[in-house]
Amino acid sequence: MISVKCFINWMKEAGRGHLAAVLGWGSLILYGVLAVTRLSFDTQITYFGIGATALELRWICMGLGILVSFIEYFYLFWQRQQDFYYSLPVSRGTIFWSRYVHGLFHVLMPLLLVMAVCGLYQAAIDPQFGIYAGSYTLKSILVYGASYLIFYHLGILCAVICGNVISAAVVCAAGILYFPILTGNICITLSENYFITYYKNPLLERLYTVLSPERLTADLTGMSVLEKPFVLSFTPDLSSIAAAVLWIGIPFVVFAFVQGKRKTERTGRIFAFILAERTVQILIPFLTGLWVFSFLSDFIGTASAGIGSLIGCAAGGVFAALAVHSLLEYAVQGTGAKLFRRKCQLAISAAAVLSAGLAFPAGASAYDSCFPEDAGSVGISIDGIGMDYWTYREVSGSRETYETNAQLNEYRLKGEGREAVLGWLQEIVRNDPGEDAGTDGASCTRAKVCYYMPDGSTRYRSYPLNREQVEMFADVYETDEYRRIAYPAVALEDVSDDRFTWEDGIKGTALQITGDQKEALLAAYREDVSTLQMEQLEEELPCGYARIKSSANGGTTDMFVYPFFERTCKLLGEYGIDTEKTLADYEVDAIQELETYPTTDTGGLSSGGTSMNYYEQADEVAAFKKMLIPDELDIQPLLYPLDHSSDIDVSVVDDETNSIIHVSCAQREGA
Amino acid sequence: MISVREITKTFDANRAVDHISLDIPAGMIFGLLGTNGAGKTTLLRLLSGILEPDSGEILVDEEPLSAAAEKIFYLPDTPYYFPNATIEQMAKFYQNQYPKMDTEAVTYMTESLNLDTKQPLRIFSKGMKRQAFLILALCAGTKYLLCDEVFDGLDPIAADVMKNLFRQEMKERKFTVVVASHKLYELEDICGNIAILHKGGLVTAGDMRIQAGDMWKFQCAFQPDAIEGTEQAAGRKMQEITDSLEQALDIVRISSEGTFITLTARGEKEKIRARLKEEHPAILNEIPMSLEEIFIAEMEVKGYDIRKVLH
Repeated sequence: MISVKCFINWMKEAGRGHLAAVLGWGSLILYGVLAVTRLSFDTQITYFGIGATALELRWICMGLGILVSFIEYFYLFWQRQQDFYYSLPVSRGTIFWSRYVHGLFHVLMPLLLVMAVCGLYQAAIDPQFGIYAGSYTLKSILVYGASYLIFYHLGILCAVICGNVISAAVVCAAGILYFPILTGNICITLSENYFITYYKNPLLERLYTVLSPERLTADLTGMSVLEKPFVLSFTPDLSSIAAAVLWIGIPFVVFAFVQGKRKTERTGRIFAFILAERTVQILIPFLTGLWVFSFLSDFIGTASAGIGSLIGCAAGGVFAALAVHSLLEYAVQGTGAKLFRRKCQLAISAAAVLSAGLAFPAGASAYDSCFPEDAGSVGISIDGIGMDYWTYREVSGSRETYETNAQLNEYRLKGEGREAVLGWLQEIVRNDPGEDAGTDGASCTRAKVCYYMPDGSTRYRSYPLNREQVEMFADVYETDEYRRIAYPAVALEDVSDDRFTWEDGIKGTALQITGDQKEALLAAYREDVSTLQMEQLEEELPCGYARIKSSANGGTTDMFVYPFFERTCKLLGEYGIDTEKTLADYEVDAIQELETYPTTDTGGLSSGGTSMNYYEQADEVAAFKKMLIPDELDIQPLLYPLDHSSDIDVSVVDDETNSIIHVSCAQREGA
Repeated sequence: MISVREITKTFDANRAVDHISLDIPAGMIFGLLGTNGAGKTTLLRLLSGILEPDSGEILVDEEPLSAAAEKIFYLPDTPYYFPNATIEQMAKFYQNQYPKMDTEAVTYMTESLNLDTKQPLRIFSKGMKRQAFLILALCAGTKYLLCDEVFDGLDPIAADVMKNLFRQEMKERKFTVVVASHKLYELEDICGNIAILHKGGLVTAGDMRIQAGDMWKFQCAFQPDAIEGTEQAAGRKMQEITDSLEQALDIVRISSEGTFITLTARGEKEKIRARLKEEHPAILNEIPMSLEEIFIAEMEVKGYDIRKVLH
């Protein structure tokens, strides 16, 4: 090789416009300055690399990946420039790879320097960071470098296989969004629509993360980790690392292989390779067709329309695939296009849409009847049990899964509870969860179950329950294992130094009792809980709870006391607590009721919505307050439902402090 | 010498170059003539290595094209230059690519043509850009220079300036220039050999003057009193002479107007002259043939409508 044509000279030529260098160095140095400034204010929840607060850096790396790849390889879209380069006595490989290295250098180098400077700076001002300085900084460089490479390689691949900048940008966007749409939208929608017991699928969730470049970078860079000790010692999941290697490696191998075969005359076309054109013409119609299939299944509704719905969804999906195929053919060929010249390809897309779409209804029965009885342990969460009304409202509408997921982890039954819950679930599965069978008719709630399999995998199901099945849950509820989880206070030990406060939903009273009395109270509570029967929960709500604040770690545990907890109530009475005192026994100054009701349509105009009522007359207040229960005590919304049709605020007069306490309340049903 | 052997290039269903075989001798200016879409630019892009032929091969000095890239400089009809680049900067860039690039010659030639080497090329007029890039191409020191429509759209003075640049450089060093154009007049005064392309195929190639070596053009005038009778009778007489000549000679082209007959014929000049004298013309003159006329004559024989590439 002649020296003047050597690689480094061509790298300099690649940087002639300086745009990639300006973008790379400029954005990362700017980030570095901001990061150092923020670190100078706070080092506890501010992270320059891995961690939830370095969101900008992740977006910078992703954005630079796409931008730099397009800038470096813009000559592939512009025939004049490409002719100019290719007419020179230099190999196409030299031009291509010099630009590749140029794009790497002008991002990875500033990234490395900025991370190193930030690491040194934080190490100097933050002693806690000192021991992690090396590993954290190095890991940050690696994960953000990988984030850049994922998008850089994806951008280069699109530039190589596409003939013009618009098609490259569109294909790039499709590459980024394809799998997230497929796994995070289409598959979940179809699962929800066809699988009656679907709650969530860990495999789909994992695929959603690893197949989405954007989510993968979030996973790699620890975007969900906030606590400092976890952030500093964070290492990405092995599957995420493997996915990153594949996302970086596969595009690299493909573009390294095909760049030498790219035909100059294809510049300006939509695709530079027929194979790429065909691949996109299969994949995009498939995705669109399946998307329409899932949308229609959502729109028409699967259960009510039956086979007609299925035919409608399938026809819609195939038609969408056909339409997108024709559109792509038109885009590729222009006017006078032969839209159906690739009939076989069209047939593959349509068949794939049908196969994938129909696989869900076809597999629904097997999915719903699946009962992994060999599960090592079972996590259980029933909407409305062990949660307050507002949480129940959120989880029953499937709007929020946080509490359910927490319960599935917390209520993980391994011993007698496991046997009981499996027996109970077997009955439910045997009764076909798809039908609202049972003596009580329609389902009233759902049980979310997580089967923890011996191989470490998890299977989630959500079973609709009718009233009878809820009552049968007593077999599980009354096991010691379940009670220990549902009533965590029974597991407390050595509470003699802990602080006890009695809360009746209106005001708190500190219990002035000795250590022995505290232990005695807890022992009585344990006995009451051990004899608790689930059906009792349908008769009474707690009269209050004792909040135990640990002297060891400051943690609090609530010990809910029901009126039928005779031993506990008796002891509390001895300690000066009137467990029978309710809201009705307090002096109430006024009650404010905000009623909400659906708006009615009157000739195109909407009226109504809310109504505010005030009760200040003594007799009105006296009558009304007997019907009210403080929200804090409404912890059995399924077994002992209250009426929450209006927001009620009770102004209670506190004689001790001569002040007003505002208490949110619900009404007893039928009051 | 550049040898093109049976090369074919197809863009989708359009065969831009169709089994062309051609030898471009070294040390001369070779013209590629053809209408738009004839395949000239495609052939030049193939010769410069930008495109790869679907079939056939290109040899440069009996080496494959890929091994001879340093010997070739390609000058497209609209040359590319870096944003804000000056002639000086482009010369420096080319110097890194072509070891024999003579930057001093660039300076000398640009000064002689009053081109400012410090000004960005983007502010140059079309003619100035063409001149600037021709200078860069000539100074690159390559053995082969491929030029695509370099004179297109230039005023006659600018075209002459550029042709003089070619001539001067040819005097100094023997190199080969391939110039593609769709106008014959742009090539006829500088090209020794010309190849005509039509619809991707090669119509003819070579030195037209040599090919026209046995072709002669004469003009005869007959005395009016020698042609008896009425005007119709005179016309019949002229037609008889024309028919007689066509039968007796290898006529390429013949036309008559009034008492004048102009003809182009193949064969021995003296025999043609003797046969013409037998018709007793009042005036018999031999007329030198221009390259254009040779082309017209040649192409009409081959059935190609040469008027497409005339003016």
